[in-house]
Amino acid sequence: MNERIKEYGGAAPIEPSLIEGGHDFASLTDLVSGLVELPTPRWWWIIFSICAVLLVIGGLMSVYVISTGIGVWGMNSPVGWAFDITNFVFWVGIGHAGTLISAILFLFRQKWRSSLNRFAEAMTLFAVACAGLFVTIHLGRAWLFWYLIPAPNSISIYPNYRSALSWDFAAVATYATVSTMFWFYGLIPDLATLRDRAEGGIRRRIYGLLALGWRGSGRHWHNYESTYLMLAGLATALVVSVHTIVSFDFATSVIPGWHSTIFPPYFVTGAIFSGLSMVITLIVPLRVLCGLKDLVGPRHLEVLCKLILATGMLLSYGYMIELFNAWYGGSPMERFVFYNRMTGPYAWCYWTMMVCNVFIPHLFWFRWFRTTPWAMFLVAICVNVGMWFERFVIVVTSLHRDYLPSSWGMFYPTWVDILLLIGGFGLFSTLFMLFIRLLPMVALSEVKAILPAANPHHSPAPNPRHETEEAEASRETSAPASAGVFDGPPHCALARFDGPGELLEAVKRLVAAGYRLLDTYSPFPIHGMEKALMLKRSKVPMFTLAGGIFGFTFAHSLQWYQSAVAYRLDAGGKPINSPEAFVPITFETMVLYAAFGAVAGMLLLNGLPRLYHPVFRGRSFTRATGDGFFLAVEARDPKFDQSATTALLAEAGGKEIELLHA
Amino acid sequence: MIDTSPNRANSTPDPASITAPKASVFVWVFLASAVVAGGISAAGWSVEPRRFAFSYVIALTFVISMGVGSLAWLMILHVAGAVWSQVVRRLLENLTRPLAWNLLLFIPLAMNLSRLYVWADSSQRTTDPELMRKAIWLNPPLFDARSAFYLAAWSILAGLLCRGSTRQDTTGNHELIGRMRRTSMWGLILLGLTTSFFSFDWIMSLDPHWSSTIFGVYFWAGSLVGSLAALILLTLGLRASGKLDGLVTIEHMHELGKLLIGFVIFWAYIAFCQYLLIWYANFPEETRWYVIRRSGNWNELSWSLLFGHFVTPFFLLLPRANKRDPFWLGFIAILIIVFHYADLYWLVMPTLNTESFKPHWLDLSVAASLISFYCAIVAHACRTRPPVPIGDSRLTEALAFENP
Repeated sequence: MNERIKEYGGAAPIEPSLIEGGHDFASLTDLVSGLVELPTPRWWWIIFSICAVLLVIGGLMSVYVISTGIGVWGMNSPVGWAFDITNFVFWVGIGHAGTLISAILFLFRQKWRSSLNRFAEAMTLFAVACAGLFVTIHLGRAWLFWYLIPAPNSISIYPNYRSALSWDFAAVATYATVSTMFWFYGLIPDLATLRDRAEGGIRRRIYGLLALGWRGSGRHWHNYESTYLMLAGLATALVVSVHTIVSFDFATSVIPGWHSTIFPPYFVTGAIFSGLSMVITLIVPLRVLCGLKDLVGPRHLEVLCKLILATGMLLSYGYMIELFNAWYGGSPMERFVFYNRMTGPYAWCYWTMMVCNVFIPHLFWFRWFRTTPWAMFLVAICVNVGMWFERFVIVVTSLHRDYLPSSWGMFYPTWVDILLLIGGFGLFSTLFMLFIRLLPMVALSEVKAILPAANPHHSPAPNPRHETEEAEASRETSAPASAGVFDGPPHCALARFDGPGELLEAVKRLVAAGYRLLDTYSPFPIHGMEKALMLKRSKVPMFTLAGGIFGFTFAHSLQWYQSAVAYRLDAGGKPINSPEAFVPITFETMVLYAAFGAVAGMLLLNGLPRLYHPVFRGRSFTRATGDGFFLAVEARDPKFDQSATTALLAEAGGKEIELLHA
Repeated sequence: MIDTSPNRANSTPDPASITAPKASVFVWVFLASAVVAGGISAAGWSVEPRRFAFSYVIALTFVISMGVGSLAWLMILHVAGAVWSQVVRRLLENLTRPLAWNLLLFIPLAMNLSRLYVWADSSQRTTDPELMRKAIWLNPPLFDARSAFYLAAWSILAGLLCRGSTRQDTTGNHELIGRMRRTSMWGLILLGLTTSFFSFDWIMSLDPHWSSTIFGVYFWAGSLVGSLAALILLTLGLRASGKLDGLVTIEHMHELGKLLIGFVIFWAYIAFCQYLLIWYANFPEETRWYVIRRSGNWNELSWSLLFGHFVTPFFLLLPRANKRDPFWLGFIAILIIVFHYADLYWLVMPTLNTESFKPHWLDLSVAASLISFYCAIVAHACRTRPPVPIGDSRLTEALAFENP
């Protein structure tokens, strides 16, 4: 049978590379770093000024609302929540696609995500910032937001942990913290690249500090990857829980149209659906403006479109089940709410939502729409609009016609409502524009790792760009090895190799020769290196577990103590000790501390931050974060012998061999 | 045994197909057990028809959930095009084979509708105003027609995918990959809708005054995790007998273990959301459903679901070593299957025994009969085709899969 399998397998079509344009490590580094290093293009200034104007409008409106009071909004009885919560849910939702791309698709080993995850994560952060803005202002007395923090406040009471609103605070705060951490964590190797490319001065210092002294060590990559996996798992659980808790804000209530058990999964899918369309809205113009067509090619866009189609259908399922149940369930009020949505004064909002979210995404069944950027851009805009209206429909139409016709009313947005909505987009886009100027918008180290040349078993094509350089380098090999400045005991012998395959072979050779204190330096983790270096499984999972257990215990006992012991306040008839109601905050805190544990584990195990290390003295070591592959043999190794070791390194294919001093 | 190698020029006789399990003994053992247990259950039907009907609906829903869960996995794998999973695709296909018999198995249920469902009782349907309103949806003829439609649709979907896969074995045609993927796309939409309404009709309408919009998703979650456990168990069984040597490695088992923990969490998430929202809003007509399940010794079963369906498997699956150990993986799979049955029992039986949990010998005999029948069909299916889709061009890569 194996022969038959081979026979068929041989005919399998070869999958095209995800990165087009024949890039190598150096050209990719130049392309992505160039976005940050080259002079600011004119289009950036134009777009940035527009965004900044919108941001100023938003800022002025925020000041006006906070100083005057939320009476300047159009909300009144019976519509007590309107644009504020609509915008909040809209922005939190946008954030979810970033985590989907960076975490969930990572767990499913979807390599195409590498080109998109960095900027999608940034999108998450800025969207969460917008959500935070709206939800803070909606408190009315925004300066008292600290009442949500579990410390006894000025009137000696604790937050009500049985309220979905304090769950929301825990969820959004955790989401913002963990997303920032995850994003920054992924940035560390790329910040090191920028540091090593900087000519010097303030730029090098800032990137250098932020990079925490990252040097691309093979031993570091080992823990780094483990933490990345942990963070991805935690972020996945978190992203689901956050929108679940946002949906609890509505679904725990007894308002018809809000109380529906399908809300949690249906909100999560809707959030991812809206976020993916925001990704398309941003990337379609940016890949042209920033020259990223090679990195974000038709295949990436097509997969995004398919995901929009899939999540859109799941969302439609939610709409359909809600409609069916409105009829099937026993509540006449529930039936009325849905009837009113379809035919009442806000029917145009409902039908906008239906057309944009349920019908238009089906255009993605056609290949043409999935492969034509401007067409998918238009569809994505429709979905953005539709998802904003979905939240508006849920929030406002469930409230505006109360149980009694005498308490019916309408909501009309005021100019402040509308300008603040626009201001939210201003905040989001301004932050985004700053991000693409200041930080690499593509995860360089991850994109390099999916190049065919990154596979150690790939036979490299000769690289004309570096040929002369390498010829020079090989001449240098014959020069005395101890060319470094002597100002301390010898630390290690450093050699540069041509590619990941050569480096891996060299490591295997040195290990076979009895060397143990080896380390490799590469711009991305090399598959199989941890085995070659004989590293044990990373201990990061233990740190994560410890963090999780601590967070769980801490949060649960905190809530129990404050609600059931210290301040026994009857809230909504719920039992004083309600483990059910403590679950959301316990879960969020558990994830938060587990994430802290994972990151702390990587830093502790790797001995970072450490801004200075002898290998940084290597003559061409700055290439270790660009396109260089280095092997260092520590002088402490019992087998270390200056001449024998350098000879062996040269024999294994090492170039620019040098002896570095501490 | 569909052995097509003679038809192919240049093809050496196929070693694996020659060693096809001669032992049809499993099929016969399962069939015999199904017949014996079925006979006992039939006797129970005449003695205690109401109890029989309830036991029967639980057991039939259980085997159906295994079938539709496997069908869902199969279609998800086709749509996602995941390479590693090709090695278990054939086994998933085998797990969906019993779906073809469900129309037949539905007959005893259709004969007992009025014993099961309040709304099927014509005296209730004409007096209770709520049931009168719902009668255009909840009435026996329409229920039978809908059920027949669901069962037929699943049988056809499973049949289409199995047929394509068998044809792929002999021809190795690449186009079949695309064709099965397209079938799976519309198939998943159809399956998602039919399984939801199936769970509304068969389980949720046992209490026609109660409803929950997440119920369909809850049924999906249970079916997905239960059928995944069944797949793991089947794979481990075939591995132990040496049928999958060099085909399904521990790397693949590890991957299945990861999916299992993911869906164990998913089930718990959905179950908790439904519980929390109903507990919190505290509508009498909604909480009643949970009040029954949290009173008497139903409460103990509720707690055991939390621990048996979530906490224990979750912690056991957490360490990497357990996911790579056939013993632990098998143990967890059995645990999950048992608790998946308990979950369905917990959904259905409190309608009959509102006071407390009273096990009955009919529960056991009916379940034994239907599950044995299910196993017999699967065992037979495993004998008829090679254990992996040998015509799929992705198989070579799938066999070489290693966890990073």
